[in-house]
Formats: sequence, structure tokens, C-alpha cells
Amino acid sequence: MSEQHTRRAVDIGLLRQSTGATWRATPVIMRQVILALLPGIVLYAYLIDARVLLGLTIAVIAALLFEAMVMWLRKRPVTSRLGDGSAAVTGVLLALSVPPGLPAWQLIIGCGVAILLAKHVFGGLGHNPFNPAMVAFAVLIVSFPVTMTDWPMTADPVARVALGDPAGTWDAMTSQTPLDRYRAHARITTGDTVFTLSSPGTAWVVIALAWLGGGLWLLWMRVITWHAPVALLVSLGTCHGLATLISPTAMPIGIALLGGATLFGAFFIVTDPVSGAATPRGRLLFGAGVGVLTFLIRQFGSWPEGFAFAVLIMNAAVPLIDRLDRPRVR
Amino acid sequence: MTDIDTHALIVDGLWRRNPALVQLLGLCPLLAVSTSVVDAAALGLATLLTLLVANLAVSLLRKHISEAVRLPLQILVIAGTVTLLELLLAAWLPRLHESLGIFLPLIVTNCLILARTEAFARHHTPDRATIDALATGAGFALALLALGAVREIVGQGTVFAGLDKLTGHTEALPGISLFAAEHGLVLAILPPGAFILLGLMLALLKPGR
Repeated sequence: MSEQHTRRAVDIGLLRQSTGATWRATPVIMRQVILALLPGIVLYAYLIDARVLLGLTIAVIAALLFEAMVMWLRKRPVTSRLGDGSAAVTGVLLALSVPPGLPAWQLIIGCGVAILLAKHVFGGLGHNPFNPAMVAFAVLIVSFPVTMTDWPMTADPVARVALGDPAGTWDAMTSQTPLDRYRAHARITTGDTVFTLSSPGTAWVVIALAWLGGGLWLLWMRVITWHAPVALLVSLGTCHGLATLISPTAMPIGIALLGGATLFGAFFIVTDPVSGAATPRGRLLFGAGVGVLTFLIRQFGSWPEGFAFAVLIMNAAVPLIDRLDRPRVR
Repeated sequence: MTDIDTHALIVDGLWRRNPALVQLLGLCPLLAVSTSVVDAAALGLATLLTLLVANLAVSLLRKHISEAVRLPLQILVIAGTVTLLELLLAAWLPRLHESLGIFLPLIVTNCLILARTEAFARHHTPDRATIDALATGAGFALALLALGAVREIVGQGTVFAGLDKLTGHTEALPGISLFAAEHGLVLAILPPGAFILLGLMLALLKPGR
């Protein structure tokens, strides 16, 4: 499927998300993506922080308002584009990528960046070279490093029981995802302590598995294809595996794959049909590239999570990847 | 060459053919030094002054410069002016000199200045060349100032921070603070922010043309 082909299809309101899948109207696909995210969202609100629901509401409303504003400015039909749900999905993906306690105005700036700068400056749905939610994430983490790494402190008793601390001996749930937790841990201890996936990191693992479940459902519904997610997980796993062999203090594969943004990104970000590669082989390459770059940024970079930057770099490489895999017809 | 109307020269330099916003000349200093109002104003003034001296000199010498060596000679005039300016700043406003760093000597390579001496000053009388230099230089300085103001406000929540560098005060002047620095969009003062904000500025000005 050529790039031109995709763009034309998107223009008339269709989006084919996978080779071998039937052409489907964009709203249907967007609804299925939201449905696939629901279990993870419910678990997130229950186990980690209910404020995520507020964040989701704000992000979706802001994304829709920005979308309506741009469509009005561009003198295009406003209602048809709002109805396709793509702006809402961008809002949802962004809200799930940032800490739930992020101040609302920062989240709204993020939505504005995603819709205005990442999407409509390039021509709107189907024309954006970069994943809008990841552009917004990158802008936010660069601009607000403090609030963007402030994962929730919660003393919610329900969460404690669910996570196996009925006695209430914790002062609070720690403020980190397993990935941050590991990094912080690795910085303090010098390698002789074995890090185990224990509470409260477990909550994040449960949620990661919910993303995996939603992703598998999307795969089963043929909304996405397996190429990019599998390539991402294999390359990221391999990199972390090799790192563990070389250095015992490196992050274990389990945390690498279950922590951070890995599973969420594998099924909901690198599968983006617009900013990702077009052909099956291209998607394998795209996913593998994101995996390697994520590993490199996690291991050697200064950011707590390199996934968003890895996706943006590979987005920039997509025209090249698509070119490599173009049928040789003259 | 017929003389060009003064009014047209001014409108061209400031707005219709604004070097930064329409011709997109001299983007390197425009993007690199526009992180604060004070730095932007200083570099804008320095560029304006250089352009003024260079335009005037090239215009005065226009009968004596042979066609074949005109480019090296123009560059020589510009480089001489910039060197003078740099030494003067180093002597009088050393902290400003330090703050502008490499971008002060780099004014020599600002294509805007060579463009004006080559395309305008060597064909016109000194008074036309002076007006052209003032209008074009002011157009560039104003664009630099506008971008500097936007980036400083959005990025740090201040305006005119570090004004002491320009006035020669010994104590640091914090400028006007609009909101706490930690609420600033740090991206605005990073290089990508310069590109994004300049792009937005161009887009906003587009309907006015």
C-alpha cells in the first residue's frame, strides 16, 4: 500500500489499518482502539490513580476543541472530522502517557501541540509524519521535566489490599513505574541487590498486561497487524538480554518488557497507520528500530523513558523505509 | 539608475520585503540569539549598525570598486565594520560581548548584509543607501526582537531579563517577571522552539500580506 494510497483513503474517511484487513471507516477503527484501551484504563484508575479519568476527560475535550478550532480555521467541515474519533484517540493516548497528576493546563498545552503542530500543520489526519501523541509527550517532557516525571503518590487502602499490603505498612505507594523504580534503584545500590518485580511495581505490570490483552484483541479484530509490535518486543528484549549478559547490573528483560511504556507503545503507538511504515516488511523494520532506539535511550540517555523519542526518530525514517520496500516497477 | 522613493524603501525594508519575515535571510542569528529580548535587541542593533556602515561605505566607493573584485571588497568592508564593533563592545559592554559570543563576529557572514550592499548600495547614492540600511536593518532587528520577546515570555516568563548587559549596570537586573520560571515552556528557548515559533509567526503574518 503506497503512501499516496493511504493518504487518499484517509481523505475520503477510510483507514485501512492492516494489510489483509478490510477497508473500514475511520470512526469504527477509533472506537475499537478505545474499547481495547478500556480494561487498562479501568485497572489504571483502580490500582494507581483515579485522577487518570479526569486527565482523560480533559484531554479528550481539549483535543476535540482544538480539532474543531483548526477545522473551522481551515474552512473545512467541522462535524465530520470530530465524528471520526481520531482527535479523541490522540487525547486518550496522550493522557495515558503522562503522569495522572499532570496539571490540567500542561495537558491542554500537550493536546494543542498534538492537534495543531503535529497534525494539522502537516495537513490533518492521514498526512502527519509524526505520531501526534508522541510529539506532545516529547514537548511536555522537555518543557516540564518536573511534573512530567511526578508519578502518583497514593495511600489508597483499596490499592494496598489489592497489591498485597493489607497491614498498611507502606507510607505511600512509591512514585514510580517499575522502570523508573529500577533506574533509581540501580543508581543507589551498586549491583549486589537483585531487583524483583514486587509491589508496588506489580500494579504497573497488571496494567501492562491489560494493554497486552487489548492489543491482542485489536490483532484478532484485524485492526492492527502483528509486525510492528512483535518486532519492537523482540528487538527490545534482545537488546536488554544482551545487556544483561554483558553487565549484571543492566535492567532485567522482565522489567524492560513489562515496565515503562513498552506494551502500551507496542500495541497502541507503533501501530499507528499514518505515521508508521506502510508495508509488512517496513513495519518489521520500524518496530525493530523503535526497540533498539528505546533501549539505547533507556540505557545511555538521561530521560527516564526513551520510547517517545525512539518513535519520533523512526517516524522520521518512515519515508526511507517505505522507499526501500517499494515494488520495483519502472 | 533612477532614484527610489524614500517611502517605498522604508515600507519595503520594514514590512513588504522584510529580510527576516519575508526573504528569510539571516536565519542563523535570528534563530540562535532570539532566546531573550536583551540578546535579540543587542544583536539586532549590532546588525543594523554594521549594515548602515557597510551600505554607506560601499555606496561611497561605488565608482571606484571594479566589477571583478567587488565581492571580496564588500566582505572586507563588512568584516572591518564588524571587527570594530566587536572591539568596541568588548571594551564598553564586556558582559554583552560575552553573552552574544560567536554570533557577534558571525554578523560578517549574515547574508542579509552582503545582499544589501551587493544588490542595492553599489548602485545607489549614499543617501538612498543609508535609508535602505536603516529600513532593512530595523526590519531585521524588529523581527529578532519580536521572536526574542515571545521566546523569553513563553520560555521563562520574563521580559527584559539581563537588561544590565545592555545598559552597563554593574548589578544584575532581573527584568519583569510575568509568571514563575518553572511554568515556562522550556522548549521555547531551545533550538526547536525557535523554529516552531518562527513558523507560527510567519503563519500568523501571512494573512496580513
